[in-house]
Amino acid sequence: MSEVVATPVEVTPPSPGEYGLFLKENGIDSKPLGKDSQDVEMLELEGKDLVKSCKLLKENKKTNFDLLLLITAVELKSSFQCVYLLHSLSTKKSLRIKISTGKENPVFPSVTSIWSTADWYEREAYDMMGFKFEGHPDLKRILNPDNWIGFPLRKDYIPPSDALNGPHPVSEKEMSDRTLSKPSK
Amino acid sequence: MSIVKDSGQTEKAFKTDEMVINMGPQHPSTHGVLRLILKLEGETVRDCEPVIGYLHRGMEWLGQNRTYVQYQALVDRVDYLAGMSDSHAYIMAIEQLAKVKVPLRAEYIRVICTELNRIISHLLSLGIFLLDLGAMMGFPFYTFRDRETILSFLEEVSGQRMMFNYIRIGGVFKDLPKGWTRKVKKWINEEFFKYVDEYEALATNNPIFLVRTQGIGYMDPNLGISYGVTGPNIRASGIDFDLRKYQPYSVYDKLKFNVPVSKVGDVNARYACRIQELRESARLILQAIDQLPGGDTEDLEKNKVELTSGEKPVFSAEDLMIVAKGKQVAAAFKPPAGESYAAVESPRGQLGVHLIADGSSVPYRLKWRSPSFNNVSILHEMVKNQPVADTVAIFSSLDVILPDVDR
Repeated sequence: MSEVVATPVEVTPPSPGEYGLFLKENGIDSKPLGKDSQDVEMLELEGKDLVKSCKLLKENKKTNFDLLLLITAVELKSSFQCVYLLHSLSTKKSLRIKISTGKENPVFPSVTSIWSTADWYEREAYDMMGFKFEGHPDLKRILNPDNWIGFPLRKDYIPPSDALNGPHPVSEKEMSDRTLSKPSK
Repeated sequence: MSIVKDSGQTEKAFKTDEMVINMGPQHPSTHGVLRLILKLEGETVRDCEPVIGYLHRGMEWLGQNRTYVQYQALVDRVDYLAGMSDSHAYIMAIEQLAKVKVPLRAEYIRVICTELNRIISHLLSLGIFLLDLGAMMGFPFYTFRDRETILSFLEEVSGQRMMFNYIRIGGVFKDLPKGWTRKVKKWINEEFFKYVDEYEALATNNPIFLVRTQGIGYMDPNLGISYGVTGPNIRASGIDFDLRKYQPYSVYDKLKFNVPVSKVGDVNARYACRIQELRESARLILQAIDQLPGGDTEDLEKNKVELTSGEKPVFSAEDLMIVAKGKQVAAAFKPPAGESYAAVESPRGQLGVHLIADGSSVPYRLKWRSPSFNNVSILHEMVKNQPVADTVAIFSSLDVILPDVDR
Protein backbone atom coordinates (compact mmCIF):
# COMPACT_ATOMS: atom_id res chain seq x y z
CA MET A 1 0.00 0.00 0.00
CA SER A 2 1.42 3.37 -0.97
CA GLU A 3 2.12 6.16 1.49
CA VAL A 4 -0.95 8.25 2.20
CA VAL A 5 -0.75 11.79 0.95
CA ALA A 6 -3.09 14.15 2.71
CA THR A 7 -3.73 16.31 -0.31
CA PRO A 8 -3.41 15.62 -4.03
CA VAL A 9 0.21 15.97 -5.11
CA GLU A 10 0.88 19.60 -5.93
CA VAL A 11 3.79 21.17 -7.73
CA THR A 12 4.11 24.11 -5.36
CA PRO A 13 4.00 23.57 -1.60
CA PRO A 14 0.79 24.93 -0.04
CA SER A 15 1.04 28.39 1.49
CA PRO A 16 0.31 28.80 5.22
CA GLY A 17 -3.36 29.38 5.98
CA GLU A 18 -5.09 31.58 8.53
CA TYR A 19 -4.15 29.54 11.58
CA GLY A 20 -0.66 28.76 10.32
CA LEU A 21 -0.04 32.51 10.20
CA PHE A 22 -1.67 32.96 13.61
CA LEU A 23 0.70 30.42 15.14
CA LYS A 24 3.64 32.02 13.35
CA GLU A 25 2.75 35.38 14.94
CA ASN A 26 2.97 33.69 18.32
CA GLY A 27 6.33 32.14 17.60
CA ILE A 28 5.27 28.59 16.71
CA ASP A 29 6.40 27.11 13.43
CA SER A 30 4.04 24.85 11.53
CA LYS A 31 4.09 23.05 8.22
CA PRO A 32 1.07 23.88 6.05
CA LEU A 33 -0.64 20.88 4.44
CA GLY A 34 -3.18 22.79 2.36
CA LYS A 35 -6.94 22.36 2.58
CA ASP A 36 -9.23 19.38 2.29
CA SER A 37 -12.34 19.09 0.12
CA GLN A 38 -14.40 21.01 2.68
CA ASP A 39 -11.94 23.90 2.89
CA VAL A 40 -10.64 22.89 6.31
CA GLU A 41 -7.11 24.02 6.99
CA MET A 42 -4.61 21.30 7.85
CA LEU A 43 -1.20 21.83 9.39
CA GLU A 44 1.56 19.75 10.89
CA LEU A 45 3.19 20.66 14.19
CA GLU A 46 6.22 19.47 16.09
CA GLY A 47 5.25 17.27 19.03
CA LYS A 48 6.82 19.63 21.54
CA ASP A 49 4.70 22.57 20.33
CA LEU A 50 1.36 20.76 20.53
CA VAL A 51 0.21 21.57 24.06
CA LYS A 52 1.40 25.16 23.82
CA SER A 53 -0.35 25.83 20.51
CA CYS A 54 -3.56 23.99 21.52
CA LYS A 55 -3.78 26.10 24.65
CA LEU A 56 -3.25 29.21 22.56
CA LEU A 57 -5.81 28.17 19.92
CA LYS A 58 -8.40 27.43 22.58
CA GLU A 59 -7.94 30.44 24.82
CA ASN A 60 -7.38 33.18 22.26
CA LYS A 61 -10.61 35.09 21.51
CA LYS A 62 -9.85 35.18 17.79
CA THR A 63 -9.51 31.43 17.30
CA ASN A 64 -11.41 29.97 20.29
CA PHE A 65 -11.34 26.27 19.41
CA ASP A 66 -13.53 25.07 22.26
CA LEU A 67 -14.54 21.71 20.79
CA LEU A 68 -12.19 18.81 20.18
CA LEU A 69 -14.18 16.68 17.78
CA LEU A 70 -11.90 13.72 17.34
CA ILE A 71 -8.41 12.34 17.69
CA THR A 72 -7.61 9.90 14.89
CA ALA A 73 -4.58 7.65 15.22
CA VAL A 74 -3.10 6.80 11.84
CA GLU A 75 -0.33 4.40 10.87
CA LEU A 76 1.64 5.56 7.86
CA LYS A 77 4.36 3.66 6.05
CA SER A 78 7.27 4.99 8.05
CA SER A 79 5.63 6.95 10.85
CA PHE A 80 2.72 7.15 13.26
CA GLN A 81 0.41 10.13 13.18
CA CYS A 82 -2.20 11.70 15.43
CA VAL A 83 -4.82 13.89 13.77
CA TYR A 84 -6.67 16.38 15.98
CA LEU A 85 -9.96 17.71 14.63
CA LEU A 86 -10.78 21.02 16.26
CA HIS A 87 -13.88 23.14 15.89
CA SER A 88 -14.88 26.54 17.16
CA LEU A 89 -18.50 27.18 18.07
CA SER A 90 -18.07 30.97 17.96
CA THR A 91 -16.27 31.32 14.61
CA LYS A 92 -17.78 28.16 13.03
CA LYS A 93 -14.36 27.15 11.71
CA SER A 94 -12.49 23.89 11.81
CA LEU A 95 -8.81 23.04 11.94
CA ARG A 96 -6.90 19.80 11.63
CA ILE A 97 -3.58 19.42 13.40
CA LYS A 98 -1.25 16.52 12.65
CA ILE A 99 1.65 15.25 14.72
CA SER A 100 4.02 12.55 13.54
CA THR A 101 6.53 10.34 15.33
CA GLY A 102 8.87 7.55 14.38
CA LYS A 103 7.70 3.92 14.44
CA GLU A 104 9.94 2.66 17.27
CA ASN A 105 8.50 4.63 20.14
CA PRO A 106 5.25 6.49 19.40
CA VAL A 107 4.96 9.04 22.21
CA PHE A 108 2.71 12.08 21.95
CA PRO A 109 2.02 14.88 24.42
CA SER A 110 -1.40 14.62 26.07
CA VAL A 111 -3.99 17.37 25.64
CA THR A 112 -6.28 16.16 28.45
CA SER A 113 -5.55 19.34 30.40
CA ILE A 114 -7.10 21.40 27.59
CA TRP A 115 -10.08 19.30 26.48
CA SER A 116 -11.53 16.68 28.84
CA THR A 117 -12.75 14.63 25.90
CA ALA A 118 -9.12 13.90 24.96
CA ASP A 119 -9.00 11.52 27.94
CA TRP A 120 -11.03 8.78 26.28
CA TYR A 121 -9.80 9.46 22.76
CA GLU A 122 -6.19 9.10 23.90
CA ARG A 123 -7.04 5.89 25.71
CA GLU A 124 -8.62 4.64 22.49
CA ALA A 125 -5.53 5.57 20.48
CA TYR A 126 -3.42 3.67 23.03
CA ASP A 127 -5.75 0.68 22.89
CA MET A 128 -5.96 0.46 19.12
CA MET A 129 -2.57 1.70 17.95
CA GLY A 130 -0.33 1.54 21.01
CA PHE A 131 0.37 5.28 21.15
CA LYS A 132 1.61 6.59 24.47
CA PHE A 133 0.51 9.97 25.74
CA GLU A 134 2.77 11.83 28.12
CA GLY A 135 0.80 13.50 30.89
CA HIS A 136 -2.36 11.40 30.56
CA PRO A 137 -3.83 10.74 34.04
CA ASP A 138 -4.73 7.08 33.53
CA LEU A 139 -3.60 5.57 30.26
CA LYS A 140 -5.11 2.09 29.93
CA ARG A 141 -7.12 0.09 27.44
CA ILE A 142 -10.69 1.24 26.87
CA LEU A 143 -12.48 -0.96 24.33
CA ASN A 144 -10.45 -4.17 24.47
CA PRO A 145 -10.01 -6.24 27.65
CA ASP A 146 -7.07 -5.23 29.86
CA ASN A 147 -5.17 -8.45 29.12
CA TRP A 148 -5.38 -8.11 25.35
CA ILE A 149 -2.14 -8.61 23.47
CA GLY A 150 -1.26 -6.43 20.52
CA PHE A 151 -2.78 -3.32 19.01
CA PRO A 152 -5.62 -4.24 16.66
CA LEU A 153 -5.55 -1.36 14.20
CA ARG A 154 -1.86 -1.64 13.37
CA LYS A 155 -1.23 -2.96 9.89
CA ASP A 156 0.95 -5.82 11.16
CA TYR A 157 -1.61 -7.06 13.68
CA ILE A 158 -2.69 -10.69 13.43
CA PRO A 159 -6.12 -11.37 14.93
CA PRO A 160 -6.36 -14.36 17.27
CA SER A 161 -8.19 -17.39 15.92
CA ASP A 162 -10.62 -17.55 18.83
CA ALA A 163 -10.51 -14.28 20.66
CA LEU A 164 -13.54 -14.83 22.86
CA ASN A 165 -13.13 -18.33 24.26
CA GLY A 166 -9.45 -19.16 24.29
CA PRO A 167 -6.47 -17.59 26.00
CA HIS A 168 -4.79 -15.20 23.66
CA PRO A 169 -2.94 -15.93 21.47
CA VAL A 170 -3.36 -19.66 20.91
CA SER A 171 -2.06 -21.85 18.16
CA GLU A 172 -4.44 -23.97 16.14
CA LYS A 173 -2.90 -27.15 17.58
CA GLU A 174 -3.32 -26.00 21.16
CA MET A 175 -6.91 -25.22 20.42
CA SER A 176 -7.70 -28.60 18.90
CA ASP A 177 -5.89 -30.36 21.77
CA ARG A 178 -8.05 -28.61 24.27
CA THR A 179 -11.23 -29.52 22.41
CA LEU A 180 -10.22 -33.17 22.18
CA SER A 181 -9.29 -33.52 25.84
CA LYS A 182 -12.75 -32.40 26.95
CA PRO A 183 -14.59 -35.22 28.77
CA SER A 184 -17.28 -36.61 26.54
CA LYS A 185 -20.76 -37.19 27.88
CA MET B 1 -33.73 13.99 57.83
CA SER B 2 -32.09 16.64 59.92
CA ILE B 3 -29.15 16.06 62.17
CA VAL B 4 -28.14 18.76 64.61
CA LYS B 5 -24.53 19.57 63.95
CA ASP B 6 -22.65 19.24 67.21
CA SER B 7 -19.12 20.05 66.08
CA GLY B 8 -19.21 17.15 63.64
CA GLN B 9 -19.51 14.46 66.31
CA THR B 10 -22.83 13.04 65.18
CA GLU B 11 -21.71 13.02 61.58
CA LYS B 12 -18.62 11.13 62.58
CA ALA B 13 -20.69 8.65 64.52
CA PHE B 14 -22.92 7.97 61.53
CA LYS B 15 -20.17 7.95 58.95
CA THR B 16 -20.32 4.92 56.75
CA ASP B 17 -17.44 3.29 54.96
CA GLU B 18 -17.13 3.73 51.24
CA MET B 19 -18.21 0.70 49.32
CA VAL B 20 -17.31 -0.20 45.76
CA ILE B 21 -20.05 -1.94 43.84
CA ASN B 22 -20.55 -2.91 40.26
CA MET B 23 -23.55 -1.80 38.29
CA GLY B 24 -23.78 -3.94 35.23
CA PRO B 25 -22.55 -5.10 32.80
CA GLN B 26 -25.88 -6.89 32.48
CA HIS B 27 -28.07 -4.29 34.11
CA PRO B 28 -31.35 -4.25 32.19
CA SER B 29 -31.64 -0.48 32.20
CA THR B 30 -28.22 0.30 30.82
CA HIS B 31 -29.27 0.49 27.15
CA GLY B 32 -26.82 -2.15 26.08
CA VAL B 33 -23.96 -3.52 28.07
CA LEU B 34 -22.35 -0.89 30.26
CA ARG B 35 -20.56 -1.47 33.51
CA LEU B 36 -20.31 1.25 36.12
CA ILE B 37 -17.93 0.92 39.02
CA LEU B 38 -19.60 3.00 41.72
CA LYS B 39 -17.96 4.13 44.91
CA LEU B 40 -20.82 4.58 47.35
CA GLU B 41 -21.04 6.21 50.72
CA GLY B 42 -24.38 5.04 51.99
CA GLU B 43 -26.79 5.95 49.21
CA THR B 44 -24.58 8.63 47.70
CA VAL B 45 -22.30 8.10 44.72
CA ARG B 46 -18.84 9.46 45.53
CA ASP B 47 -17.13 8.29 42.38
CA CYS B 48 -18.06 6.49 39.22
CA GLU B 49 -16.04 4.89 36.48
CA PRO B 50 -17.77 3.71 33.32
CA VAL B 51 -16.21 0.59 31.84
CA ILE B 52 -17.06 0.23 28.17
CA GLY B 53 -16.14 -2.10 25.35
CA TYR B 54 -18.49 -5.02 25.98
CA LEU B 55 -20.11 -4.42 22.59
CA HIS B 56 -16.91 -3.69 20.71
CA ARG B 57 -17.15 -5.23 17.27
CA GLY B 58 -14.18 -3.61 15.61
CA MET B 59 -16.17 -1.47 13.20
CA GLU B 60 -13.05 0.48 12.21
CA TRP B 61 -11.00 -2.64 11.56
CA LEU B 62 -13.89 -4.12 9.53
CA GLY B 63 -14.09 -0.92 7.50
CA GLN B 64 -10.39 -0.96 6.75
CA ASN B 65 -10.59 -4.54 5.51
CA ARG B 66 -13.56 -4.14 3.19
CA THR B 67 -14.20 -2.10 0.09
CA TYR B 68 -16.21 1.10 0.35
CA VAL B 69 -19.22 -0.58 -1.21
CA GLN B 70 -19.06 -3.71 0.96
CA TYR B 71 -18.83 -1.67 4.15
CA GLN B 72 -22.07 0.19 3.31
CA ALA B 73 -24.07 -2.74 4.63
CA LEU B 74 -22.27 -2.70 7.98
CA VAL B 75 -22.45 0.96 8.94
CA ASP B 76 -26.07 0.77 10.12
CA ARG B 77 -24.84 -1.41 12.99
CA VAL B 78 -22.72 1.33 14.53
CA ASP B 79 -25.76 2.89 16.14
CA TYR B 80 -28.58 0.49 15.51
CA LEU B 81 -31.30 2.95 16.45
CA ALA B 82 -30.17 5.54 13.95
CA GLY B 83 -28.95 3.50 11.03
CA MET B 84 -29.95 6.15 8.51
CA SER B 85 -27.76 8.76 10.19
CA ASP B 86 -24.81 6.35 10.25
CA SER B 87 -25.19 5.63 6.55
CA HIS B 88 -25.67 9.30 5.79
CA ALA B 89 -22.42 10.33 7.52
CA TYR B 90 -20.40 7.53 5.94
CA ILE B 91 -21.78 8.11 2.46
CA MET B 92 -21.31 11.87 2.77
CA ALA B 93 -17.64 11.37 3.66
CA ILE B 94 -17.13 9.30 0.50
CA GLU B 95 -19.13 11.70 -1.65
CA GLN B 96 -17.09 14.66 -0.40
CA LEU B 97 -13.91 12.84 -1.27
CA ALA B 98 -15.00 11.62 -4.70
CA LYS B 99 -16.99 14.80 -5.43
CA VAL B 100 -20.10 12.79 -6.29
CA LYS B 101 -23.12 14.96 -7.05
CA VAL B 102 -26.29 13.68 -5.43
CA PRO B 103 -29.59 14.24 -7.24
CA LEU B 104 -31.96 16.60 -5.48
CA ARG B 105 -34.71 14.03 -5.21
CA ALA B 106 -32.35 11.61 -3.48
CA GLU B 107 -31.34 14.31 -1.01
CA TYR B 108 -35.00 14.87 -0.11
CA ILE B 109 -35.59 11.16 0.27
CA ARG B 110 -32.55 10.98 2.57
CA VAL B 111 -33.91 13.78 4.72
CA ILE B 112 -37.37 12.19 4.96
CA CYS B 113 -35.96 8.82 5.95
CA THR B 114 -33.40 10.23 8.40
CA GLU B 115 -36.07 12.28 10.14
CA LEU B 116 -38.37 9.26 10.38
CA ASN B 117 -35.42 7.43 11.88
CA ARG B 118 -34.90 10.26 14.37
CA ILE B 119 -38.51 9.90 15.50
CA ILE B 120 -38.02 6.14 15.97
CA SER B 121 -34.90 6.70 18.01
CA HIS B 122 -36.46 9.38 20.22
CA LEU B 123 -39.58 7.30 20.76
CA LEU B 124 -37.52 4.38 21.96
CA SER B 125 -35.34 6.52 24.18
CA LEU B 126 -38.34 8.29 25.71
CA GLY B 127 -40.12 5.03 26.38
CA ILE B 128 -37.08 3.44 27.99
CA PHE B 129 -36.36 6.62 29.92
CA LEU B 130 -39.77 6.50 31.61
CA LEU B 131 -39.30 2.80 32.26
CA ASP B 132 -35.95 3.52 33.90
CA LEU B 133 -37.63 6.03 36.17
CA GLY B 134 -39.98 3.30 37.29
CA ALA B 135 -43.02 4.31 35.24
CA MET B 136 -44.37 0.85 34.57
CA MET B 137 -47.73 2.37 33.67
CA GLY B 138 -47.38 1.66 30.01
CA PHE B 139 -45.73 4.74 28.60
CA PRO B 140 -43.30 2.55 26.61
CA PHE B 141 -46.26 0.76 25.05
CA TYR B 142 -47.57 4.04 23.70
CA THR B 143 -44.23 5.00 22.16
CA PHE B 144 -43.55 1.49 20.88
CA ARG B 145 -46.96 1.35 19.22
CA ASP B 146 -46.10 4.41 17.10
CA ARG B 147 -42.53 3.27 16.61
CA GLU B 148 -43.92 0.14 15.00
CA THR B 149 -45.86 2.19 12.43
CA ILE B 150 -42.74 4.08 11.36
CA LEU B 151 -40.69 0.89 11.27
CA SER B 152 -43.16 -0.54 8.78
CA PHE B 153 -42.92 2.67 6.71
CA LEU B 154 -39.16 2.30 6.55
CA GLU B 155 -39.48 -1.40 5.87
CA GLU B 156 -41.56 -0.61 2.80
CA VAL B 157 -38.84 1.74 1.60
CA SER B 158 -35.70 -0.25 2.32
CA GLY B 159 -36.86 -3.81 2.92
CA GLN B 160 -35.43 -3.82 6.45
CA ARG B 161 -36.82 -2.80 9.79
CA MET B 162 -33.65 -1.57 11.47
CA MET B 163 -30.51 -2.21 9.41
CA PHE B 164 -31.75 -0.23 6.45
CA ASN B 165 -28.67 -0.03 4.20
CA TYR B 166 -30.76 2.43 2.21
CA ILE B 167 -28.53 5.44 1.61
CA ARG B 168 -25.96 4.57 -1.04
CA ILE B 169 -23.13 6.33 -2.80
CA GLY B 170 -24.70 8.77 -5.27
CA GLY B 171 -28.25 8.54 -3.99
CA VAL B 172 -30.48 5.97 -2.36
CA PHE B 173 -31.11 2.25 -2.88
CA LYS B 174 -34.36 2.73 -4.78
CA ASP B 175 -37.20 5.16 -5.14
CA LEU B 176 -40.05 5.50 -2.68
CA PRO B 177 -42.84 2.96 -3.20
CA LYS B 178 -46.09 3.98 -4.84
CA GLY B 179 -48.39 5.97 -2.59
CA TRP B 180 -45.89 5.96 0.29
CA THR B 181 -45.58 9.72 0.68
CA ARG B 182 -49.35 10.15 0.86
CA LYS B 183 -49.57 7.46 3.52
CA VAL B 184 -46.82 8.98 5.67
CA LYS B 185 -48.28 12.45 5.34
CA LYS B 186 -51.74 11.25 6.32
CA TRP B 187 -50.41 9.36 9.35
CA ILE B 188 -48.39 12.33 10.62
CA ASN B 189 -51.17 14.84 10.10
CA GLU B 190 -54.00 12.78 11.46
CA GLU B 191 -52.33 10.69 14.14
CA PHE B 192 -48.74 11.48 15.06
CA PHE B 193 -49.21 15.03 16.40
CA LYS B 194 -52.06 13.75 18.54
CA TYR B 195 -49.86 10.95 19.86
CA VAL B 196 -47.16 13.39 20.93
CA ASP B 197 -49.77 15.34 22.89
CA GLU B 198 -50.76 12.04 24.43
CA TYR B 199 -47.20 11.35 25.62
CA GLU B 200 -47.03 14.80 27.10
CA ALA B 201 -50.36 14.33 28.86
CA LEU B 202 -49.01 11.13 30.39
CA ALA B 203 -45.64 12.33 31.56
CA THR B 204 -44.75 16.01 31.28
CA ASN B 205 -46.80 17.35 34.20
CA ASN B 206 -46.97 14.16 36.22
CA PRO B 207 -45.90 15.12 39.79
CA ILE B 208 -43.94 11.91 40.37
CA PHE B 209 -42.15 12.38 37.07
CA LEU B 210 -41.30 15.97 37.96
CA VAL B 211 -39.87 14.98 41.35
CA ARG B 212 -37.69 12.36 39.70
CA THR B 213 -36.41 14.67 36.95
CA GLN B 214 -36.36 18.32 37.96
CA GLY B 215 -33.11 19.69 39.33
CA ILE B 216 -31.33 16.36 38.87
CA GLY B 217 -28.26 15.69 36.79
CA TYR B 218 -27.32 19.25 35.92
CA MET B 219 -24.87 19.55 33.05
CA ASP B 220 -22.74 22.65 32.91
CA PRO B 221 -22.59 23.88 29.29
CA ASN B 222 -18.84 24.61 29.39
CA LEU B 223 -18.07 21.25 30.93
CA GLY B 224 -20.28 19.60 28.32
CA ILE B 225 -18.42 21.29 25.48
CA SER B 226 -15.11 20.30 27.03
CA TYR B 227 -16.28 16.69 27.05
CA GLY B 228 -17.50 17.03 23.46
CA VAL B 229 -21.16 16.46 24.35
CA THR B 230 -23.48 17.24 21.43
CA GLY B 231 -27.07 16.74 20.39
CA PRO B 232 -30.14 17.26 22.59
CA ASN B 233 -27.95 16.85 25.69
CA ILE B 234 -25.99 20.03 25.07
CA ARG B 235 -29.02 21.87 23.67
CA ALA B 236 -30.81 21.23 26.96
CA SER B 237 -27.94 23.09 28.65
CA GLY B 238 -28.45 26.21 26.57
CA ILE B 239 -26.04 25.78 23.66
CA ASP B 240 -27.77 26.08 20.31
CA PHE B 241 -25.68 23.58 18.39
CA ASP B 242 -27.58 21.58 15.83
CA LEU B 243 -25.69 20.74 12.67
CA ARG B 244 -28.88 20.85 10.62
CA LYS B 245 -29.13 24.57 11.33
CA TYR B 246 -25.52 25.35 12.19
CA GLN B 247 -23.87 23.92 9.08
CA PRO B 248 -26.78 22.83 6.90
CA TYR B 249 -25.96 19.72 4.90
CA SER B 250 -28.18 17.90 2.39
CA VAL B 251 -31.33 20.03 1.88
CA TYR B 252 -31.86 21.19 5.46
CA ASP B 253 -31.28 24.80 4.42
CA LYS B 254 -34.44 24.65 2.30
CA LEU B 255 -36.64 23.51 5.16
CA LYS B 256 -38.06 25.53 8.03
CA PHE B 257 -37.78 24.17 11.55
CA ASN B 258 -36.93 25.26 15.08
CA VAL B 259 -34.18 23.88 17.26
CA PRO B 260 -35.52 23.32 20.78
CA VAL B 261 -33.08 24.79 23.31
CA SER B 262 -33.48 24.89 27.07
CA LYS B 263 -31.30 26.71 29.57
CA VAL B 264 -32.14 24.52 32.55
CA GLY B 265 -29.75 21.65 31.87
CA ASP B 266 -31.31 18.99 34.08
CA VAL B 267 -32.85 15.61 33.31
CA ASN B 268 -36.25 17.18 32.69
CA ALA B 269 -34.85 19.67 30.17
CA ARG B 270 -33.28 16.88 28.13
CA TYR B 271 -36.63 15.05 28.11
CA ALA B 272 -38.43 18.23 27.03
CA CYS B 273 -35.97 18.86 24.19
CA ARG B 274 -36.54 15.36 22.82
CA ILE B 275 -40.33 15.68 22.97
CA GLN B 276 -40.09 18.97 21.05
CA GLU B 277 -37.78 17.42 18.50
CA LEU B 278 -40.44 14.83 17.70
CA ARG B 279 -42.75 17.60 16.53
CA GLU B 280 -39.98 19.40 14.63
CA SER B 281 -38.97 16.21 12.84
CA ALA B 282 -42.58 15.59 11.84
CA ARG B 283 -42.77 19.15 10.47
CA LEU B 284 -39.58 18.56 8.51
CA ILE B 285 -40.98 15.38 6.96
CA LEU B 286 -44.19 17.11 5.89
CA GLN B 287 -42.27 19.96 4.27
CA ALA B 288 -39.81 17.63 2.56
CA ILE B 289 -42.67 15.55 1.14
CA ASP B 290 -44.32 18.69 -0.20
CA GLN B 291 -41.10 19.88 -1.81
CA LEU B 292 -40.06 16.44 -3.11
CA PRO B 293 -39.06 16.96 -6.76
CA GLY B 294 -40.91 14.60 -9.06
CA GLY B 295 -43.68 13.91 -6.59
CA ASP B 296 -44.80 10.33 -6.17
CA THR B 297 -42.90 7.61 -8.02
CA GLU B 298 -45.35 6.78 -10.73
CA ASP B 299 -45.46 10.41 -11.90
CA LEU B 300 -41.72 10.88 -12.17
CA GLU B 301 -41.26 10.53 -15.90
CA LYS B 302 -44.52 12.24 -16.70
CA ASN B 303 -43.61 15.20 -14.52
CA LYS B 304 -40.25 15.52 -16.17
CA VAL B 305 -41.78 15.81 -19.63
CA GLU B 306 -44.36 18.30 -18.46
CA LEU B 307 -41.85 20.43 -16.64
CA THR B 308 -39.24 20.50 -19.40
CA SER B 309 -41.82 21.60 -21.96
CA GLY B 310 -42.88 24.58 -19.90
CA GLU B 311 -40.64 25.88 -17.15
CA LYS B 312 -37.23 24.93 -15.81
CA PRO B 313 -37.02 21.26 -14.79
CA VAL B 314 -36.62 20.64 -11.08
CA PHE B 315 -34.64 17.50 -11.60
CA SER B 316 -32.22 16.32 -14.21
CA ALA B 317 -31.71 13.18 -16.27
CA GLU B 318 -29.29 12.11 -13.56
CA ASP B 319 -32.14 12.01 -11.06
CA LEU B 320 -34.04 9.60 -13.24
CA MET B 321 -31.00 7.43 -13.77
CA ILE B 322 -29.98 7.10 -10.12
CA VAL B 323 -33.25 7.34 -8.29
CA ALA B 324 -35.89 5.82 -10.53
CA LYS B 325 -33.83 3.18 -12.29
CA GLY B 326 -31.89 2.21 -9.18
CA LYS B 327 -28.44 2.58 -10.69
CA GLN B 328 -25.63 1.57 -8.33
CA VAL B 329 -21.94 2.39 -8.27
CA ALA B 330 -19.42 -0.27 -9.25
CA ALA B 331 -18.34 -2.73 -6.57
CA ALA B 332 -14.73 -1.60 -6.84
CA PHE B 333 -15.53 2.09 -6.50
CA LYS B 334 -12.34 4.03 -5.92
CA PRO B 335 -12.43 7.55 -4.49
CA PRO B 336 -9.25 9.58 -5.04
CA ALA B 337 -6.56 9.84 -2.37
CA GLY B 338 -7.32 12.46 0.21
CA GLU B 339 -8.94 13.18 3.50
CA SER B 340 -12.46 14.14 4.48
CA TYR B 341 -14.56 14.56 7.59
CA ALA B 342 -18.33 14.48 7.21
CA ALA B 343 -20.72 14.97 10.10
CA VAL B 344 -24.47 14.74 10.46
CA GLU B 345 -26.83 15.48 13.33
CA SER B 346 -27.85 12.05 14.53
CA PRO B 347 -30.55 11.72 17.22
CA ARG B 348 -27.73 11.59 19.77
CA GLY B 349 -25.51 14.39 18.51
CA GLN B 350 -22.79 15.00 16.01
CA LEU B 351 -22.00 11.77 14.22
CA GLY B 352 -18.93 12.04 12.04
CA VAL B 353 -16.74 9.93 9.83
CA HIS B 354 -13.09 10.79 9.34
CA LEU B 355 -11.91 9.11 6.19
CA ILE B 356 -8.35 8.92 4.89
CA ALA B 357 -8.12 7.38 1.44
CA ASP B 358 -5.08 6.30 -0.55
CA GLY B 359 -6.79 5.90 -3.91
CA SER B 360 -7.56 2.20 -3.61
CA SER B 361 -10.99 0.62 -3.22
CA VAL B 362 -10.42 0.08 0.52
CA PRO B 363 -10.38 2.93 3.08
CA TYR B 364 -6.87 3.47 4.46
CA ARG B 365 -8.15 4.81 7.76
CA LEU B 366 -11.74 5.14 8.83
CA LYS B 367 -12.60 6.64 12.19
CA TRP B 368 -16.04 7.09 13.71
CA ARG B 369 -16.90 10.07 15.82
CA SER B 370 -19.86 8.56 17.59
CA PRO B 371 -21.80 10.97 19.79
CA SER B 372 -22.58 8.45 22.53
CA PHE B 373 -18.87 7.93 23.18
CA ASN B 374 -18.56 11.55 24.27
CA ASN B 375 -21.94 11.64 25.97
CA VAL B 376 -21.09 8.74 28.26
CA SER B 377 -17.64 10.11 29.07
CA ILE B 378 -19.21 12.97 31.05
CA LEU B 379 -21.33 10.59 33.17
CA HIS B 380 -18.88 10.36 36.08
CA GLU B 381 -18.97 14.13 36.49
CA MET B 382 -22.76 14.21 36.55
CA VAL B 383 -23.46 11.42 39.03
CA LYS B 384 -20.90 12.55 41.58
CA ASN B 385 -22.55 13.22 44.98
CA GLN B 386 -25.98 12.20 43.71
CA PRO B 387 -28.14 9.43 45.16
CA VAL B 388 -27.54 6.07 43.54
CA ALA B 389 -31.17 5.88 42.41
CA ASP B 390 -30.63 8.97 40.26
CA THR B 391 -27.68 7.41 38.46
CA VAL B 392 -30.04 5.43 36.27
CA ALA B 393 -32.20 8.50 35.59
CA ILE B 394 -29.18 10.61 34.64
CA PHE B 395 -27.66 7.93 32.46
CA SER B 396 -30.97 7.27 30.77
CA SER B 397 -31.55 10.97 30.09
CA LEU B 398 -28.25 11.13 28.20
CA ASP B 399 -29.77 8.69 25.67
CA VAL B 400 -26.61 6.68 25.22
CA ILE B 401 -26.63 3.67 22.93
CA LEU B 402 -23.82 1.32 23.86
CA PRO B 403 -23.05 -0.12 20.40
CA ASP B 404 -22.49 3.48 19.37
CA VAL B 405 -20.03 3.91 22.26
CA ASP B 406 -18.11 0.70 21.62
CA ARG B 407 -18.38 0.53 17.82
